[in-house]
Amino acid sequence: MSRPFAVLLPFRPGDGLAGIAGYRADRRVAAGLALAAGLILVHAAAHAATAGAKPAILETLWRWTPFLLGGFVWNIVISALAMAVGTALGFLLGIAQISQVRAVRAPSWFATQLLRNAPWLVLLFYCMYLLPFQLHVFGTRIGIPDWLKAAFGFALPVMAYVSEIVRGAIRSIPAGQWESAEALSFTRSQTIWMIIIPQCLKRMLPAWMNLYAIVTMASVLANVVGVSEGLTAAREMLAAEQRVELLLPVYAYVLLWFFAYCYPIARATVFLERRWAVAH
Amino acid sequence: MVAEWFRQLKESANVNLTIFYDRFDGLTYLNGLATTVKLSAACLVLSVVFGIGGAWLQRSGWAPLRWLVNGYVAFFRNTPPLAQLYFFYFGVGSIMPLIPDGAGGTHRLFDNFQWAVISMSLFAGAFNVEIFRAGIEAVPKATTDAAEALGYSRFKAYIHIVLPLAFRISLPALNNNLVTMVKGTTIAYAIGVPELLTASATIWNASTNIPEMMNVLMITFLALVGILVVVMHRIERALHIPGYNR
Amino acid sequence: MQKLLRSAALAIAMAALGGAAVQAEETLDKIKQSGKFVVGIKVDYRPFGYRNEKGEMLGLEHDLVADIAERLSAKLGKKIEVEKVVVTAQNRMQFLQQGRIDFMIATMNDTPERRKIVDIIEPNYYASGVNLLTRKSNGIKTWEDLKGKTVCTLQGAWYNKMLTEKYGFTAQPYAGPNEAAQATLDNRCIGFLDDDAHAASLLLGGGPWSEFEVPLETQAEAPWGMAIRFQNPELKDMLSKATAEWHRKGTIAALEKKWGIKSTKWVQTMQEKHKSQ
Repeated sequence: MSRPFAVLLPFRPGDGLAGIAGYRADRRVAAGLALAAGLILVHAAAHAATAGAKPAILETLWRWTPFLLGGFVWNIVISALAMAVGTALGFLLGIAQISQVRAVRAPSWFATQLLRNAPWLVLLFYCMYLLPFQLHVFGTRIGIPDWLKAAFGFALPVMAYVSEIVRGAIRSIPAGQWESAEALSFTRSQTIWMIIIPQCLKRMLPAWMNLYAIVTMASVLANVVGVSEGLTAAREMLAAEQRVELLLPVYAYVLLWFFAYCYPIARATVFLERRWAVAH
Repeated sequence: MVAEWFRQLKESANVNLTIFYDRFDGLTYLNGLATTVKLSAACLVLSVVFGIGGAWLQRSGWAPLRWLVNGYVAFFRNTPPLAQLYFFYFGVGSIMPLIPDGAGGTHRLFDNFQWAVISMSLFAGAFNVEIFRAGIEAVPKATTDAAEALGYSRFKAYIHIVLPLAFRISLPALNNNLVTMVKGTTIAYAIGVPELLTASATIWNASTNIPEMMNVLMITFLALVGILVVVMHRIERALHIPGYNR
Repeated sequence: MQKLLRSAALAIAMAALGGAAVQAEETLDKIKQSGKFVVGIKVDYRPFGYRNEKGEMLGLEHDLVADIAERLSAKLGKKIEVEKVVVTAQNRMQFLQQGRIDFMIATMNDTPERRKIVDIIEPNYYASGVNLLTRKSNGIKTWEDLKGKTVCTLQGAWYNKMLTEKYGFTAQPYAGPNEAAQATLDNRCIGFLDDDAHAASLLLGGGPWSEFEVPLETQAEAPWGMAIRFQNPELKDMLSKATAEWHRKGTIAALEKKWGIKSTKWVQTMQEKHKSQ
């Protein structure tokens, strides 16, 4: 039997309901504390494993940081490129999915489903092994570096996800918009590009930003196919140092870098979602 | 007989599908498929457990417990699953205690399959916590008040009333997460778990039939995911709450 | 919209056709023209190729590549720069075939199947065989002892399938030798199916490896080969002469000493063979 006259009691965060301000602060504090706890645990574990060589570990990590950062930059490059290409293509694919021409709609739907349901790593293998490594265009040879192939490999699932986001956003626009446009004798193409899409952009942004965080995290998969990026740099560092006690700290360090990059994006996404909340 | 046809396919069309005519390759691929299915099933169960448990702890009155769960969710949702896997298997795995195995030697506490399950379940579980939280919040307050009025304790109301409803509400999002997880089992390749991608790589390294094996792999995954999506849709429709529009 | 799709399709088709064109020119001419010698080399296999904290690549094979670059510069009459492309056991041959690299020196065993795909330089520059790196306490004495056990292997090694089929163990393939070695240290498998040169260098390092041994009879002994694409007779000839000179002058043995590798009998035999020529 719970509290009588519950409605008269002061509000307490953590009752499980959305006390928005309290809830947000909770999570920031929580994340910070979790981070600190994680760091302490990692150091304690490493310290226990080496019995006193703790400064050496921190110092080693610090020494290799420029090298590791250099690798991490490639993660950002690959994910940014994949997002750029994937968004552009996915936009077109999403619009093709609502086309009134069956010959356009069906293959677009099929391509979207295919790319959404294939594992990202398999698509990456496809692109790495089967794409040519250089193009002979107009007589000159243009080399395609392997990070570019990896970026294209990630652009494929991004294309499918963006296509779904676009399609969902377009469908959430009230039918009244379409009807008014038709009444004002806009062609379908004009309606889509001048009326519907501008309204969709706001709705799509949080999901799109979420996708960017996902792609940045997925860019680590490129390490499995031999592309030089952050995790590859970490493995090369471990190969050079050959010290068992470095394993835990180095991988934890890499995780921290990604957390530091992706968590702000996630927070910004939540913030934008709340600010631009559109009644559906 | 089937094997002969595929052998001839290699000669005539240069399409080398060794899994159909080479016993070792065929068995390797089938084992890979079995391991992928086992991995997915284990991760499904464990991640749902983590999700339900995390969602329950998130509503606790004791603040540090809430901070812990929120920190877990924030950390696992914003770091790459492959890096998490490396961290657990090579990092944490190297400081795990040695336990004796049956044959007189010792080995570390969790082997690579188990670490893959743990790591991927923690990752999917973090998403599940959020999904269950949304589902629990979507249960009308009136319902929980009614439960309170009927004398249910908080815990009993959670188990008998809130959770079943929340589960049905969050089923579509859970299914999405499940599909993502099944696709994500491919990262176990990095730690040598003999699942589908590892099996395919082993086969194409020995028989140099990369395009054929990649296509077979893609088709296998599309089939797996397709079956899963169809089954999930059936379940969703069966468990759909009447009048609750999504 | 239609125009956009059509021109996109055309561009993709052109690119595909272009990409499929076969490399017909002599590699040596290409090197002379571009002034660059593109080599595929490893950086995860200490001490043959690895990185230090400044990101520099070093190792025994890197030294050999520097020597070849000097010879190329002398032969072609202009300074040839080395452009190193990192390869692994899984992609080294594909890269060479596709033309991404012109030359490959990546601890690759010379096998008849591989000779069908790439042109391997003779004489070979190094050799090793396959053995098992295992804890002394495991008491493994013969290959047959491995039946039914789990063995850590390297993805892409040519001997994996052959030995797995022959001796009936379960392979646990890892992407790189360091991951496989680490898994072995953690007792995740009974041992690491490694080539004996790498295993020997690990044992030399001491530390946790002092409890390990390489007890079995070395199998699948195969010399290592550097590789180039087919139909490059001039380059092949130059590289063959270079290798013969390395053996004659004892360069390889000296490099073994430099990088702390226990001197192998194979290298000594080759040295004697070429000295007498």
